[in-house]
Amino acid sequence: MCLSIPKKVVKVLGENIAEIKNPDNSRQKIKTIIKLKSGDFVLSQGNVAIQKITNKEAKELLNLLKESGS
Amino acid sequence: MKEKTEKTIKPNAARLLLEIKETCLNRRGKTLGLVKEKMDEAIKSGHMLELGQLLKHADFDERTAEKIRKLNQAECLDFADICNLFGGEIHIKDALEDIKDLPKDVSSLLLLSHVLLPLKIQKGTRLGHYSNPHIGSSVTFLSLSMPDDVENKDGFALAHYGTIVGFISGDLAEKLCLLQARFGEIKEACERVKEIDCNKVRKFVELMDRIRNKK
Repeated sequence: MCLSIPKKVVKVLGENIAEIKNPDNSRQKIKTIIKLKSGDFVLSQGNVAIQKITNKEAKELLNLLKESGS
Repeated sequence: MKEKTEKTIKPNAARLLLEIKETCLNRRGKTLGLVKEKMDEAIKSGHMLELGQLLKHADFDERTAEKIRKLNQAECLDFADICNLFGGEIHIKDALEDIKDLPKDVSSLLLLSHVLLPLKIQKGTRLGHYSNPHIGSSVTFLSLSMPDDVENKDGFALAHYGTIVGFISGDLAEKLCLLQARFGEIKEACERVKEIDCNKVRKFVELMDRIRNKK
């Protein structure tokens, strides 16, 4: 519901579908409502890519999360 | 034949819903100040609010709005319904689906800071402890944000991404603990993460907000 996760696009499989690489390096197909190309970073919500973000932003987001726990 | 009436929500439940929305990763910069003011007026007058109108004004995404509408068969949603939704099965299952492919350290943090866990607040501090007796493991939340406009009561606090969104009774806290203990992932996350720095969690939320709203 209120989660957005950064992921990397590895392959565009069609107009509305792309293969993405998760932060744990696993791959999955997700739907997309935006135009993507391989190498893009996206925010996904409920298995749907909703917004492109930069590589720097994706890293920054994940690092902030990792730093918040011990 | 009985005319179908609009589903309603009690003002304190609506207020909790707005606090959750304002602290979530998909708030998209929308300020709910005006809606909250109307909510406060309704709380004082005790009037029920139309659920459909609230969901529209607060800009809930359709997927979430549908889950809230179908939460139960009752004509009016109350505070416990919203606690059960965001601290219970539906929210936990949705979160687990979204985070299943993340590294464990990241997914554990997201799960614990995202699901409404009943926290015992240490008096005079901004420390909260999630100590679920049915799990046997506890997590300390450091630097919780305590907004002035959230009514502070005795009992347990509910935090969403490091910000307290409401307070609940011991009875409701016990019900949530039982619900949460049914998920092995919560227990696993509690064993993995012992402390959460809520300042950093909120920085994550703020960065997400800036990214989501950049031109």
